[in-house]
Amino acid sequence: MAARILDKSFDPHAGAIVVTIEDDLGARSVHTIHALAPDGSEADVASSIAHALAQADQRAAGVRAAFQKHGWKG
Amino acid sequence: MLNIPQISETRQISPYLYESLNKIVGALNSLAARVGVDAAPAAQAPAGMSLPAPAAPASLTVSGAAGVFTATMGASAGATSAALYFLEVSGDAGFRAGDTTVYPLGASLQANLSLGNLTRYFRARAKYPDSDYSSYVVFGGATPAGVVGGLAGSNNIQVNIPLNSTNNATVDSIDGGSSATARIYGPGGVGSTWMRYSGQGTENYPAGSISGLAYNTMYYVMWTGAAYQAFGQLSLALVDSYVYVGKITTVASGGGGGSSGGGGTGGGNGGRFLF
Repeated sequence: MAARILDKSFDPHAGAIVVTIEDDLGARSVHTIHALAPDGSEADVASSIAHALAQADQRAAGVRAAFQKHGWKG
Repeated sequence: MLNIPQISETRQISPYLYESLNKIVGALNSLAARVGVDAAPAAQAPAGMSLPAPAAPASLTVSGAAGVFTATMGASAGATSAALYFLEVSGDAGFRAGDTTVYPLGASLQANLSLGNLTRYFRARAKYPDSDYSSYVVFGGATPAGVVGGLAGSNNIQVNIPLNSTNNATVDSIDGGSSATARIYGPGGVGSTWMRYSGQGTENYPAGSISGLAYNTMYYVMWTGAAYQAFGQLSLALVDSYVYVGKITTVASGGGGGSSGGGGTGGGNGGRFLF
């Protein structure tokens, strides 16, 4: 199972999409993704979300491997 | 009030029956007066107003200290324990409806209202469940007197409120392609939770990131309760509910330079705004 988007909300004051991600170990992270780049152009939001998901997967895999060395069966 | 004129007809049939019926009617009316509900309202009486209103509360005194108003009423003269009391608090001496809050106190004659250091005017009245309101008793009389709530001092707040705090977060930044991305994480590395330490214990916060930041720019990174936000201006970051995470300077395009913030593993500089 891979990391998934748990919640997505829109913060008009910050001009940002707030995405809560949960990895397959249950750890959550909150990502504030601005809709516009600093120069005013539209930001690549999809790429930022994909990066956050990949990062969560990478960390979960690392934690799982470390746990398993110590006898974790999860 | 229950009144049965026909009872007098029973006197000739049986004086005992007449006396018994009179006692029942008397007991019922006595009970109605005690609970403030008319058992047999007159047909012409408006709904809920068949009993005579109680007298106005005998007195009203109000004081304010440390942001708390204490209002005490005297019971309405001659009223039974069924009387209900209503305290009205207004920012306006004329008690305009839009500026007046009504506090139903039930049978209680005292209220403590924590409204802060404001000037407020007070009046009170009473009623039975089945009566109209009494007239008002106004604090100050014909010219309502304003009462000042008073400032709360440091001795009015909780001892050891957590003015001192730190955290074990790391806030750093990477090149996100066309802008900088700040990363917020704990001692377990990118993606791990971090903790805020204070005199009242510890709180856990999720890892996170903020994309779309300018390169080579100083930001205050805050947890708003639902999201991470980066503020270039300190004045925008001072909302009471925000939790300070760290102060960073983002990397330059290409990933060089920049400086990280947060308390780090040692909790060194995660406690206060660093100017």
